[in-house]
Amino acid sequence: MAPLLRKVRHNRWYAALSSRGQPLPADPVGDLGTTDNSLSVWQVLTNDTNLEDIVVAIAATLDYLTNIDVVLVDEQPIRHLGIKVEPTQGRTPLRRATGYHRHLVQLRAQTLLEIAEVIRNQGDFRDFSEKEVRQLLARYISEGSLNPSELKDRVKEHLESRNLIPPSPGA
Amino acid sequence: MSICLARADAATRRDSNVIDFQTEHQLRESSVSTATTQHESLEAELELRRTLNSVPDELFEDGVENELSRAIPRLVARFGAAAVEAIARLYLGRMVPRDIMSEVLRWLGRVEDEATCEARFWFLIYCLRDDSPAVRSAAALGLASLEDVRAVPYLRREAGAESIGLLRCRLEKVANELGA
Repeated sequence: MAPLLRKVRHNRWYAALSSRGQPLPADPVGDLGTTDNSLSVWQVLTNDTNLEDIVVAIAATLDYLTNIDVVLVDEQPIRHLGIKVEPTQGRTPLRRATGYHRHLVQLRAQTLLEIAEVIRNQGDFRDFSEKEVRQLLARYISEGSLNPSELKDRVKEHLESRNLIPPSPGA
Repeated sequence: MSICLARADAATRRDSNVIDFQTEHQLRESSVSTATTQHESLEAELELRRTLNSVPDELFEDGVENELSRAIPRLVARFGAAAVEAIARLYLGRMVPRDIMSEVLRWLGRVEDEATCEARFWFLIYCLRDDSPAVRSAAALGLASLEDVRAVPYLRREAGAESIGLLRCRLEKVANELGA
């Protein structure tokens, strides 16, 4: 079963990862913020073939260009917790990635702790540096997959200042 | 002596294989004496304190604007090195919660201000040895944004001493990217 990806901040997990087998510290729960009792995740395909799409999909929604920390966890242990995984349209300017978005739905507070434990014990933590994210965005724009006009101003300015995209009209 | 000069001096005088850091006392002393004027230094600190006190009790998210992402570039643009020194003073006095200081460090690396590059660089290097892994991580990310290749030996040394695997990977990755 393909893994699910959640954008996180690795620093929230340092203590948790260093204390496996002990009670879960509270900070990781900060990475599991819900809306309407649902948690936003992305479905990664076999061999990570859509991983860059997902990272660009996330980066394209951000206020400024930055590194992106993520964690991948298999869907099976999540489903074993009794959690439903529902396809939902991702809100991102990268159209081809919208179908990879999922929601973990009807969550209870206790379930979030169980998810955090699954992540702590089985999560595959990865990071995309600011430089990598910058290069990915530039590539997707140059390929025509991503329209720079849909990026936030600060991201556009960052790419423009490095001559990775042409200046916006009127700039 | 300014922070940057003091730090550069300390680094160059020592054996290249033995990278050491100034004592907190030295850094504190150099911070106080560096500001263009005492008045400017105090004004920067007061403004910084006001900003930090106004930061809402929120979780910071990568890529999401917050009070600090707007305030730190503004403070550095207005006060220059005095702003960096004010941050260093509050840091050394442990007057800022570590989660907020982490966010400050990330933005210190992102600020586009040539005049304060040296001061920001050496302060971030200093913070690589903080007790808090979140601060160490933020210092590394700040250095990644600064894109100064001089950080590489410091990052490699701290990576070698880092006990948290995930953080060690971050330090190594930043070092590798800067050194490439």
